[in-house]
Amino acid sequence: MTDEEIWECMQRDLDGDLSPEEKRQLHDLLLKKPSMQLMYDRLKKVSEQLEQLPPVTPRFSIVDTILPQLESEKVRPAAAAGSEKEILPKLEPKQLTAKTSPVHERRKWNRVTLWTARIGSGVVAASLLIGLVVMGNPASSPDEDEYRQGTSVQPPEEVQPAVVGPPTPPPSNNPSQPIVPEEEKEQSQKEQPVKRQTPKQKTTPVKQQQQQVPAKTQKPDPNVPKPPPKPAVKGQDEKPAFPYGVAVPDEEEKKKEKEKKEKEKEKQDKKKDDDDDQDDRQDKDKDDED
Amino acid sequence: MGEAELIRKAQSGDHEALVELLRTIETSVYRSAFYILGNEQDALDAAQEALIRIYRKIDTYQEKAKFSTWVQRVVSNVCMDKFRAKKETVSIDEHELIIPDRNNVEDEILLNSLSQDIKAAIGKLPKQYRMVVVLRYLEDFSYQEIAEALELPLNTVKSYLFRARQQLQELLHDYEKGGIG
Repeated sequence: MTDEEIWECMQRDLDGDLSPEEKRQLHDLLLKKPSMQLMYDRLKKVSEQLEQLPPVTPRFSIVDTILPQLESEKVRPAAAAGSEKEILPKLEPKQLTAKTSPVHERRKWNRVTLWTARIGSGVVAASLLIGLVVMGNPASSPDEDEYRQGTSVQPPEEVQPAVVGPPTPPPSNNPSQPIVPEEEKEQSQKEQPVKRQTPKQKTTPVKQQQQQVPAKTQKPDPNVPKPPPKPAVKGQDEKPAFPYGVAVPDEEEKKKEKEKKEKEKEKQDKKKDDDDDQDDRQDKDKDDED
Repeated sequence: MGEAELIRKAQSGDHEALVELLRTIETSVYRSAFYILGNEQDALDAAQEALIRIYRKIDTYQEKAKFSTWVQRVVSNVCMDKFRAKKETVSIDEHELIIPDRNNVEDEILLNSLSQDIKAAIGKLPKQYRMVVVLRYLEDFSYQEIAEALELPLNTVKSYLFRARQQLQELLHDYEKGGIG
C-alpha cells in the first residue's frame, strides 16, 4: 500500500468509513511507518478540534426579524400553491399587452404618417398647380400685381417701346401678352407723358445691368426678333423659384427671361448708341461752331 | 409536533406550521452560515435570506432527501451568492484570507484559544472545502448527505474533505510553531 493510499485510509478512518478489517490493516501499517503515524495523529487532532467547535447561536431570533415580511407574503396563496407558478401567468398577459400595445401604436402611427403624407402630397400638388396657373401667365400676372402694389420702377420699362420706337412684337402663343400692351397703353396715356420717361429710364438700366450680368455670358443674337418688354426680372425676384419640380414651365420661363434680357440689352445698347450719336452730333456742332 | 408533521402542514399552506418549522432550523442555518462566511453579520444576513427562501420554496421540497440536507443546500447556495457578491475569486488551491470580525458572538468563541486557531484555520480554507467541513463537523452529515446538499459527486466530497483536513492540519501545525498568525 502506497503512502497516498495509507493517507486516504487515515482520512476515511477519521470519518468512520473503514470496516473493522480495513481499520486493523491501517493500524498495522502505521506501526511500521512512524512518519505516517505522526500524520495520522495530527489529522486526528484536527478532526477532534473540528468536532469540538462551539455551537454558535444567533443573539436574537432570526425568524422574528423576518416574520413581518413573511406575514406580508402570507397574503399570497401559501407556499403549497406555488408562488412561482402564480407569477408566470401574471407575467404572460403583461408581456402580451406589452407586445400588443406597441402594435396598436405602430398602426396608429402608420395611419398618422399615411395621412400626413397624403396631406403633404396634396399640399405639394396644390402648390404646383397654383404655380403652374400663376406661371402660365408670366407676363400679365406680375404686371398686374406690381401695378396694384404701386411699384414705380416697372411702368417706364413697359412704356419704353414708345420712346425707343415701336418694336415689332413677336408672334407668341401666350394669351396674356395681348393684355399687356393695352394696359401699358392705357397707363401711358393716363399717367406717363413721353418726356417724363427719360429721367426714369436712367434709373432702370442700372438695375437691368446689374441683373443682366450673368446673362452677358449668353451671347445674344441680334437677329432674333425682340419680344415686347416684360417686367419679368422683378417678378422673378418676388416669386423665387415657385414651381419646383416642374420642368416645362421653368424652361419656358427661363427662355422668356433670356429673351427679355436680350431684348433689354439690345435696347440699352441702342439707347447708348443713340446717346453717343447725339453726343457726337453735339460735339460736331460745337466743333463746327468753334 | 414532529418535523415531518410540520413539513406536511407547511406544504399544505399552514403558515403557523411553516413559521414553527423555520424556528426549529434557524440555529443550524445560522451556525453553518457563520462558519462558512466567517463573521456574525454576514451569517445573520445569510440566515435571513436562507429562511426566507425556505419559506417561499417549501413546496419544492421532496421527502426523498432529508429535510436538513435540503435546508443546508439552501444555506450553501445563499453563502455562495454572498461569496459571488463579494467577488471572492480565489481558486480552490489557494488559501483565502478572511479576517474574522471580533464581535460579541465571536468573543465567546475566542475564549477558547483552540477554537480560535481552528476557526482561523477554517477561514483560510477555500470556500468549497469550508462548506464540506462545516457540513461534516457541524451538521454531522455523511459523505452522501454532503454530496446531496452541495450537489457534488461523492468522490469530490471525499477529496474536498480530505484535502481540507490536511490543510487544517498544516495550518494548525504552523500555529503551534508560531509561524503564521
